[in-house]
Amino acid sequence: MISAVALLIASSTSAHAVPDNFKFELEGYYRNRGYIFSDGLFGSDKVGLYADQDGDARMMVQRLRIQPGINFENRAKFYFQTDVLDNVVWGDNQSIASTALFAGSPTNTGTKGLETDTFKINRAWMEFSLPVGLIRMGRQPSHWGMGLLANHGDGFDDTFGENHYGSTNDRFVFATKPIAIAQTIAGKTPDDIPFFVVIGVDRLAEDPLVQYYGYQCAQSNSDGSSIAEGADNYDARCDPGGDGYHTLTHDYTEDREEGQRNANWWADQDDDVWEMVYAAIYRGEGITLAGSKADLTIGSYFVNRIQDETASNVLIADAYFKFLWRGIYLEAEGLTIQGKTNAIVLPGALNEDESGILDPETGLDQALYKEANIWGYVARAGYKQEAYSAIFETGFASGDDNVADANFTGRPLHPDHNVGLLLYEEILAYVTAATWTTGAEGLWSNGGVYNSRYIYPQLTWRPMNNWEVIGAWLMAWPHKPDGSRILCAPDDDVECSSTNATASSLGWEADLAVKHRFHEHVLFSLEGGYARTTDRLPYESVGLHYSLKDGKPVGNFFTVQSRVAFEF
Amino acid sequence: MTLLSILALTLIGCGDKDGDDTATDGGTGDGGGTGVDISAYINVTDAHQGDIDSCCELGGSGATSDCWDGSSWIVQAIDSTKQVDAALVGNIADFESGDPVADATLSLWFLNDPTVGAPDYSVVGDADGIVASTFKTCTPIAYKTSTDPALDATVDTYEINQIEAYTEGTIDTEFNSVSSTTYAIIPSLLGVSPDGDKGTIAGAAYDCGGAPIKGAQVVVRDPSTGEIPESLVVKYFVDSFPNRNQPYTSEDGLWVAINVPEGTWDVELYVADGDGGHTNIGKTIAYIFPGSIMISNVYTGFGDGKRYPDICLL
Repeated sequence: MISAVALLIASSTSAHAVPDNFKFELEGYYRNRGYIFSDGLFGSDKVGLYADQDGDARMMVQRLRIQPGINFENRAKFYFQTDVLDNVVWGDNQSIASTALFAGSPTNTGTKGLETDTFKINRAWMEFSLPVGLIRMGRQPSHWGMGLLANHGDGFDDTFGENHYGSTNDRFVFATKPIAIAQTIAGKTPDDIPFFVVIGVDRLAEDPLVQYYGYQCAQSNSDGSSIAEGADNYDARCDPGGDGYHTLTHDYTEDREEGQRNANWWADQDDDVWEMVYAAIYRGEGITLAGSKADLTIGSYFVNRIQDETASNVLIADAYFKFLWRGIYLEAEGLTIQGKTNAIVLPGALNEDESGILDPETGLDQALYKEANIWGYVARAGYKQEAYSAIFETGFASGDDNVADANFTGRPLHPDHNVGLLLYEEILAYVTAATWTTGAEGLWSNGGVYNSRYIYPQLTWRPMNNWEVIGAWLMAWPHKPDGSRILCAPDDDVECSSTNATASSLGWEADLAVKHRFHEHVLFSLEGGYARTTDRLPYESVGLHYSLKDGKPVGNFFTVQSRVAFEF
Repeated sequence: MTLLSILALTLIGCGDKDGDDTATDGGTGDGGGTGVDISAYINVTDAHQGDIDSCCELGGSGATSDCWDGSSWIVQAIDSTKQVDAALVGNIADFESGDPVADATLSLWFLNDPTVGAPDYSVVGDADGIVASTFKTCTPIAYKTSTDPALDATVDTYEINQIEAYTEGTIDTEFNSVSSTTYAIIPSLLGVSPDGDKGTIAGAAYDCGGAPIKGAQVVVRDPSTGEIPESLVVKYFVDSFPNRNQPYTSEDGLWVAINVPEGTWDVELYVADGDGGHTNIGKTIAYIFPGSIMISNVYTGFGDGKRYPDICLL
């Protein structure tokens, strides 16, 4: 969203009638990143992520990202973005060579062990200016603020770690400067006040592959007898012929194959998922404040997401603030997701009273009804100078101690908002994936800040031009332990089957990075992290290494990672 | 097919309602005679739904209305002539989805005890989960399904008291296999962290008519001391899936006990007696191997989980 605003700034200069003057633009990068998750660096403690791993775990991955564009006089532009060898692991990992020892040709194996496309176009969109603003249309990156909710995942914008995901939407968006328009209408010369209003619409799904019913049907009772009209468990929706007997059998949702769609699969409007996007932002760069130049950005972003068949109506609100003046740096983003839905159908996650319609007006069903109440924030305060900077960061992502109930309160922050190298990025990502498994992949954290609050002070020293040394320390505390991914302690304000944990925190992590840019385009980064985690984590059940301290399990994790990238 | 597949193991049989002959443990939350407090697990006050009064007919000819009382159980008279070897074509299927499990190994213990050591017979299924074997009819047999541990596709799945009805033809039956995904996600939904050195017991509770009982509770205990493992977590299902808020068996009769230490355990089934106490209406045995799941159903009136089809009885 901010990127749309940036283009509006650039394109708001007047356009003149001149012959076609296309300009070809090219952005992107090629990067390699190496990972070492090491074992044995800290005495007798077992160190490393994986219990079946003896010694170091190492791999190299790569990505070539290319974003060409055609720019016609800043009035009309077309871009597309493609990833080549996207996070492809070095080497022949598909046994092209019958004997691995003699492997020669590398394969396109991704970090999940699956073969990936060599070449994939992720985004394609066009932009053009109008007298009253700018329109951007197509499959485009989405980004807002610090990237807690929408994060384009472009470039190398994080102190530690790498972007792997990136928010992309099929979107139509219009951005304008309402104050300038009002002044023009009033016959005044427009001031160049950098206040923007954005309105857009996203189409998120035309036809979900999973068939949603919202209620169950069985043709017979457990003893084999038919379910007939008048019986307690008779539901007229299961008797479409109206002959007085259930003739349908299905669950709340049913998986189906692509080939089971009918020819007009796209025509059904009830299953469409779409959202309206609204944003207003003041983006003042280089403004004068008390005699000094200052940057001030403040804005808010609202999304209203709708799906009729699941009675989903969800409001997402996000506020962003950034201020830099005389080295004083403040930045914050807070978000909340509120609303009601029948769309979150997890196995076994049915409400206790599972009969009937909760709200005839909306169609919310008693069994599936969930109310979203999700919160998150990140705030930074610090002091930035050319030679050094000191920043204190704190953040929060609300958790859910019981995903099976009607309150849906947990959602990790965007995984491309990287915090540290280990605790969120690897350890909790691994724990959530191992416990939710592929049966509930949507609940994985993927490396985002998860069900916790954290502090993350960072110190940066720039000893010479293009060199940075960065140290950071991360500590995190659970929000709502659920007993499976984050274990419960006796004083937790949640209901847990067992409360064997004793620590108040999840653990801590220390990170150190050395970064250098040379030949103007080559970025080098060497990053290392050590994390010590507490008995809040379910080491044994997910297969994480641990040792015992005072009879309680603790984890020790160490990583060294390095990036070499050519940015253009 | 879903978890309800184990309901397919329901055996036939029904008898006259027998009123007031169920055994009680003498009050709320005692140890069923062992002195161990079981009130943390057995505390249901709602009345059960299911027939627990007509089981004595299942004992065959000569059974009386006082055939079991919570410490002595129904004994069925088995017709040994019906215990014969028969050809079996089985299907190893995923416990949750019903999909065939390819290249799975079926191991059989003909003495119904998988703790004795190597299985008496093993066979590897084909890509469609089909196995061919011989099986003794009217005889409880223990089995295990497993796949290559390096692939981590399934967990070792044990079931005891598998009794096939007498037939002169070929036995067509199904063997359950629990995927690693299902094994992990069930504790996740229940808010439980399973210990890798412990195991899980899952089963159904059946009434005298072979239908699931609603309103029953399960406890797992040491057979000799009656002690309850400290790590035990027992949960119940709703609509064939575990639900952390369900306090006792629902209409599907299904239950699961998580974090059961390695060893041999008694599984006891209770219902509220209406007077503030609880009645022990059934019992079975379960063998736990680390990181595995044991399927062991409990039948009202039976103390060993072995309920034979009518055709097997004298």
